[in-house]
Amino acid sequence: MKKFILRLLYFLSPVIAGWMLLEAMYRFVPNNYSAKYEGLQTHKQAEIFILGNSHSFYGVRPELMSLKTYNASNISQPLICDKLLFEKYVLNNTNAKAIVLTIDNFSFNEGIDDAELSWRRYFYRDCMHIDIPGTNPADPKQYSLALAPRFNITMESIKLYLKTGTLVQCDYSGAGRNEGANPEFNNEKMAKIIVGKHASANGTMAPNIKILEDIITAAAEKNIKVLIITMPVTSYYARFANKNKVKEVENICTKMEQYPNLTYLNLFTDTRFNNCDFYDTDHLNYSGARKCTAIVDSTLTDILKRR
Amino acid sequence: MLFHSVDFALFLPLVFFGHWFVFKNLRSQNVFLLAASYFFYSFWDWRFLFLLLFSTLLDYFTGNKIYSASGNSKKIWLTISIVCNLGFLFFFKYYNFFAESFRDAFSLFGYRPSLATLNIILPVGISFYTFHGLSYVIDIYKNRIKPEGRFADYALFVSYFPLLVAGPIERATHLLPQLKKKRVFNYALATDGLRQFLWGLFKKIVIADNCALYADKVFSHPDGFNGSSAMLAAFFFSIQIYADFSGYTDMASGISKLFGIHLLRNFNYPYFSVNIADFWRRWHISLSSWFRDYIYIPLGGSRGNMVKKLRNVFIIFLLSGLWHGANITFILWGFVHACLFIPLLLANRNRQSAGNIPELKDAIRILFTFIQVSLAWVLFRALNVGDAIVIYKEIFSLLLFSYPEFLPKKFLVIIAVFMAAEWLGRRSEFPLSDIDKRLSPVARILLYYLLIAFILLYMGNEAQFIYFQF
Repeated sequence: MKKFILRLLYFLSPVIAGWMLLEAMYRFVPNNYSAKYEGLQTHKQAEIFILGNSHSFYGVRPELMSLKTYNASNISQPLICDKLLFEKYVLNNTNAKAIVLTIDNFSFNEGIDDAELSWRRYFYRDCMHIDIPGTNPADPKQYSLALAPRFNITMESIKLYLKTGTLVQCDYSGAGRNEGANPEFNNEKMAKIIVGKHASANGTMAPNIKILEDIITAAAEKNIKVLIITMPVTSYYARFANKNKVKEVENICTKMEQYPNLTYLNLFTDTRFNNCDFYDTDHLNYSGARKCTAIVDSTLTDILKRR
Repeated sequence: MLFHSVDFALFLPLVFFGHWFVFKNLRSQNVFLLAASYFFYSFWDWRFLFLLLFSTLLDYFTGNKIYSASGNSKKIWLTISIVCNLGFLFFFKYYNFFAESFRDAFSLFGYRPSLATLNIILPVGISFYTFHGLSYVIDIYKNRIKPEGRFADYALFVSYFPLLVAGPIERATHLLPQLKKKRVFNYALATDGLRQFLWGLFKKIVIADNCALYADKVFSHPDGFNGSSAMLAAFFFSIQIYADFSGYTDMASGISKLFGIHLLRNFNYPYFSVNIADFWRRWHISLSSWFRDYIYIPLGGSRGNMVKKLRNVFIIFLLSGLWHGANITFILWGFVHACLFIPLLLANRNRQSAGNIPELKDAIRILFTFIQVSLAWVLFRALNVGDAIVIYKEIFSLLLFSYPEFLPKKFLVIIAVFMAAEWLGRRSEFPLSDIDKRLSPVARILLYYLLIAFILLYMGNEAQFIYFQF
């Protein structure tokens, strides 16, 4: 028995050492989550907060806005995290005048427990200090970030770190930046794949609609305006997207305009954008982000004038 | 708790430590294993623990009653046990299916009976532990075994965590004596167990879960694929279901060896079978032998006239299909296998085999059998008969010879290497089993690390095992 345990420990020691190194990387190297947490602490003077997923992460640039703005959106950030971030960091901020939130054709069907998103819950918990309901207390992943994402995601993180020296993909204002259009990702074939990936989110819509309504109601109580945007996409993406789904989400958002503090801005197939404004099939590059930010800024200026 | 989850990676060392270091005598070891098994099961849904406990108590009690009764009352106790066991199984697994089928059948005649369907959650592993219990009471009735005196030992036989949720379906004659005998730690057996666990993990995470990505592409939206893509999806599902289920079995056997317990062999390289009969001697062996011993042989088996023989074959295959799930597709899958089996029975070639270890000269027969099995899996995997027909239409069209719409070349190479490893290891229980005789220690360790690297690269989704749903 002693021989068995010793040999097993020798055999596993490189694996355990690797795990400890990864744990150290995730704990000590700043990443998007820890950067956003820092950003929310240092941007308490901000009047506008951007929430949502990678579409707003790359698509709305705080430095081009008229009012002080912080971009708290993140890659694959589901609505439940928008809500928890809003409640913890925005709602009680007396400077907050408005929030911008992206709602795309898949937003209501996504949840933090979806296979591709679930690992992020541990990063929100550990790096942003928000507790997402439903965390199993016996789940060891909440004690080890190295165990949370798929190993190939960790490999990508290591590559990114070795290439750029950081895991943070956003700047001081919280926004990410893509330059130019990447022909490898901005094409018809890739659009079909990405639409399919987004369509695979198939959770029930009602809980997410309720979350959005909760955000709007809570914001109204603090006199905070809410701007919901359906972000622009390339013509390739729009062609393959499920038209019924797009319409359904559009109808839900339009109906929500019954809330007096809410405005809905639909840029899905807005003609002011062309395919050159996108890095890939559905993410704006820097020039596209400038256009989008200008539209968001003028819309918010109008909304806040009516206050 | 899945075998390939982080939870289990913590659970297993704790149970191993408790079993060998804390509880030194057999009785306390068995009670500890039983408690660990109940904890393991309650991780899915603790409420179903009561069902498992009730089923265990029922079979333990009726087993004792059958043994002590005589004449007709023996039969009455057996009937009570069978009716209760199958009643639970029917209620949880088949009620909605039969209610809907019954209603649909009557609606053909313009009458629609008001049979409510229920929102029932299927308790994980119910088909497996029900069959454990049934084999125990039937064996007592047939005087093959005596009832177990200690309830904890019997409960452990039913609930032993490595086999609780997806088998192998153990027999009391095989497992109970091992649970009653003092267990001594065996270094060679334990290392063999770890190797088997590693191989099972590789099969599940690298092979099965990735095959699922390609199979699901077609099976979730069967319309609009060409024949070659549909055939490729059938191929990927064949590999998926094998790697998934046999991977689970390898992990279960491997874990069990750490505790000094051997489980029944469930797979014997089924895709190297030379005909359908041979396939069924190698695929899910514990289930097919269960049906053979408790249904086929009591019905008369292959004795009697031709009509009786055919009837028995159809009963066994249709029941085998139905065991897998409450869907007409499973029954049709069983029917297709019966139809493929019967010509062999009629030609008296159903016992023919290439022997336990097929050789390359059998390649064409192996390939033909694999194609038959893969085509039949379409029925098993399709969500409904309509989808299966669409896929069959695509496969049996001229577009079978067109270029497939997806062709993951790198992954096909991994599958080819995997199948080659299985072929080379077909003389042993699993390919890594006798690797210490074939490779130097350094090469062995490098191979283990290579497998771990592949597993880590593909790990993370913790997809459930297909057979948990049965």
